[in-house]
Amino acid sequence: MTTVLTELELDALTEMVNIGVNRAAASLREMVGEQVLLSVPKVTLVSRDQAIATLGENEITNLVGVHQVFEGEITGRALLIFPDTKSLELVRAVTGGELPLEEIIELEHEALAEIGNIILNGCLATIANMLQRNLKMSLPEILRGEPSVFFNLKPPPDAGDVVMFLYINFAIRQRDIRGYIAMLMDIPSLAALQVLLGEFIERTAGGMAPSNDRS
Amino acid sequence: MTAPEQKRDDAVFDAVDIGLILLDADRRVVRWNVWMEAASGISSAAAGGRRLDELFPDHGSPRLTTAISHALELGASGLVTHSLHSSIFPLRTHAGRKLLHNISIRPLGSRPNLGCLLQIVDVTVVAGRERILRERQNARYDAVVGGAPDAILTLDSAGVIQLVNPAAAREFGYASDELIGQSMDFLLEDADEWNKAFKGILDGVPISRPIELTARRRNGAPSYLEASASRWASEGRTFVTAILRDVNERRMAVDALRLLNQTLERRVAQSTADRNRMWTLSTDVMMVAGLDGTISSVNPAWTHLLGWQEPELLGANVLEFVVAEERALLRSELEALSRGTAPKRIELNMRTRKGASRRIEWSAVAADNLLQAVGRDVTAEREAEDALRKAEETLRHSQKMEAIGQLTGGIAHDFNNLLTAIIGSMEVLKRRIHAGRYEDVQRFMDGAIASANRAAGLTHRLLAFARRQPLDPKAVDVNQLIRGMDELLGRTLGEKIRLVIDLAPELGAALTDASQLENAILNLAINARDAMPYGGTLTIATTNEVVKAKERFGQEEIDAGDYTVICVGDTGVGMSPATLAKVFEPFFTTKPIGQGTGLGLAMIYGFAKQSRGHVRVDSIEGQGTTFRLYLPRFQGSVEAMSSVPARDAATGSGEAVLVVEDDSAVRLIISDVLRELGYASIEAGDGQTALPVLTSNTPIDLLITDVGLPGLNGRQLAEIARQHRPKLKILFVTGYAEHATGQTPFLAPGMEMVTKPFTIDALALKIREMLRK
Repeated sequence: MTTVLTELELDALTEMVNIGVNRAAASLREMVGEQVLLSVPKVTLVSRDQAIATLGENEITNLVGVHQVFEGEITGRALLIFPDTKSLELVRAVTGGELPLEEIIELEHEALAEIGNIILNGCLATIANMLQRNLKMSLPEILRGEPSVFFNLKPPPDAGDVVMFLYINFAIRQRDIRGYIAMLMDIPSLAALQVLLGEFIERTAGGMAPSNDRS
Repeated sequence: MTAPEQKRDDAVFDAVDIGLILLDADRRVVRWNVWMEAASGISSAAAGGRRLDELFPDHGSPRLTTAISHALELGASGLVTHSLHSSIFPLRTHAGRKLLHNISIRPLGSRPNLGCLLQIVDVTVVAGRERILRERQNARYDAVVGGAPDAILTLDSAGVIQLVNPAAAREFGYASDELIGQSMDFLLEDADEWNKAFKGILDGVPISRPIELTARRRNGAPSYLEASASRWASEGRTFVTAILRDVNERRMAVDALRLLNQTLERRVAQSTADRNRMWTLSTDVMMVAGLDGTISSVNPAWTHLLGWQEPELLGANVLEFVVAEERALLRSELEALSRGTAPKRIELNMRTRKGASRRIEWSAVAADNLLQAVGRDVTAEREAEDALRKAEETLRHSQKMEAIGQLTGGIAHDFNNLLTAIIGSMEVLKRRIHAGRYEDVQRFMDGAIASANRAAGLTHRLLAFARRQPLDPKAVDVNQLIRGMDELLGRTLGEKIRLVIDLAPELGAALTDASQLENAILNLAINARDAMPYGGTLTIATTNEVVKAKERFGQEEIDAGDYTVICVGDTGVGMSPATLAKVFEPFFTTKPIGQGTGLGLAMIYGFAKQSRGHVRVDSIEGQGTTFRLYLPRFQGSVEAMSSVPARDAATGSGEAVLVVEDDSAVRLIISDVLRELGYASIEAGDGQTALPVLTSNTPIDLLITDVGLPGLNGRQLAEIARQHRPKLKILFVTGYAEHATGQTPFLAPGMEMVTKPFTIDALALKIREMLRK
């Protein structure tokens, strides 16, 4: 892998994603009518195989994911992934937890699609906005399967790709639900992202350079 | 874009079966297709240029607003679904029903001419179908799961509770939504077993039988559950539904039973200990043995009582410990027990180790082919019984000797008196005859004969008392008998006693023995005289009495019937009730020893009973005593009482009489009488001597034989005689009527009997009667 984001760049990205999910959390809060906290501890860049291995931890084999495609200066796929049990819990948490299981299973598809849409849009739109670039995002699509399913979607990228991988923690109605956000980008997109991040850091740090220097 | 192309695109925009709304960057409606007109009731013209919140003032949602903003500002596509928003726009179907819809929001164009396209998709049918399915499922679900008494939990594959039924909420004390999202560890005291089973179920290993779990309820109380579980899948997702059955009641019952069993063991142990103590401490010998007598268990009393040690006893046969003479008895009892005969007590002399024996009373039962026996030492008891019996015998013997002494004393007194009179008279006669003075001879001879007769009467009465004197019951005219005793009574009573005789004129004849009756009256008169030492009145009266029904008088009973009653009453000292109670007891007398036999009243009692009659006595101290003698009335015509014939009124005509008598004096008298009467007599001293005469052709008209002969006795002799001379008349003479009481069967027709002593007149009369018939 030739392109690797610097620590600073990763920090910037993490901050942007956190702003995005916080925005999503605000949307969810409007819907649920209760406090919703979303947090993303750390963004990491990993290979596809590492991503698959990470998802396969804890012997979790069945996963549910919301998939959206984004296009613009950076292009790729955004995925919000849960163990299938957690996804139900998430839906129950969002819908209020009083519906019978069967009903939740029925609603899961649509509800998860919308929830995923809110969160992924929150992240992507925030990133695009902060990078001052346009990103077109597709409608959400639900995927199910074992970890490899999510990282072998067709068509395969022309050049090698990288996974920007991050954990996301939901705290809704006394429930803690952990999921994953993954963004698959090809190398040119990653390079473009790095450029954009550099510009963003430049802009942001402009007024903060002295403190940066001092540190 | 050409005009026709534009027109075609507009047509497509209106032709699609979804709602399409195009908003400009200012979020105002640019396009509003026909589908939207129909669903919202708002025309395209009315909608144009207006914002959505103006068109649907009470609807819409912040989420939609956000999504539109994202689309316009960021180019992000958004999705708003009915699943999370019950209705976004107030849309209706053509039929007027509520139209459920999802909305996707897409950016359109690029900056600065950015627009936003809303696509409204009708999901009413799909949602409706889902709803129907769900309702149907829910109905089934509720019927099965909601109403189930068992707690039913559905967990996802991570073990998180996703669904609970009302019974689960009741069981654990938590609300349903408190349980959902928890894992089983939250509910179980120890979840290890459950987690193991859960893992197995997920891997497709079914639970073969319910597992037992202990849950902790909200209030902290433990609850015992029995869990069964199975997995199921929905859309590639695995669930496990567990059914938890409350087994607290059963568990309590099991616990109670266990407790009961534990206490049962304790109780059994307790009672076993009690029995062991009894077994050990008992002074009775105890034993368990086979039915053949092989000892299998003994208690320590064997050692204490008999001296045998346990090792000597175990395996040995109990027969060995019984004295030899009684082994047969035990053997037969063992056999009886093994046949199932009801056990009975037996006493055995058991051998002691020191060679003595002890008397043991055994009681035994046979059960399960075992003999269980308990033996009580009755040695001392039996010895005491023997001692008592011996003491009683000694007492009886001494009483008998005393009684005999009293009796012999009384008899000797009476006999001495009589013998004095007889001997005295005979000596006077002897002197007078020697001196040739014959003038007063008759008087002395009469006196001697009278005394001798009284001596005969005495023995007669003694025998009657012993009931060995055959009675000769005949119809007796009691009045005539009493009148005949008048002179005798007058002489007996003396001058101080006034005699009053009051006889019923129509008195019926009594069936009794005249001479016994005469004795009884005389005896009563003498008793009365003795009760009136200073004089008084003696009344002898007779009456007829009828006893209508069986009567009791004190201890005595008298049968219903007609009776002739003789009353003998005095005005003497009377008797106390204590004396009265014993008045008929033999040997009871108020007279000094030697002055009476004490048998007088007893003999009268015996005579009355023998006559099927009765004696009653009434007495008041200081006023006098009255005896009433009840004798049964003679039923039938009364023969004229034959007057005593004169001695010379009948003489024989040489008939041959064989006399067999071992006492030569008696034989001499009988022969003398026979000769005087004119019969020819043949004499024999015993049966052997008489036999040749009887078997010969010598004519014999009458055989007179003593019953008690040495060798061949009188009865045997009579039998032999009858074989040769079937019609031979036989007169038995006996001094002791032991074998001839009453109408003894051996007296065949043509046989008669006289008892010694007899008067010559009585003998002569009997012989004449027999030979005359």
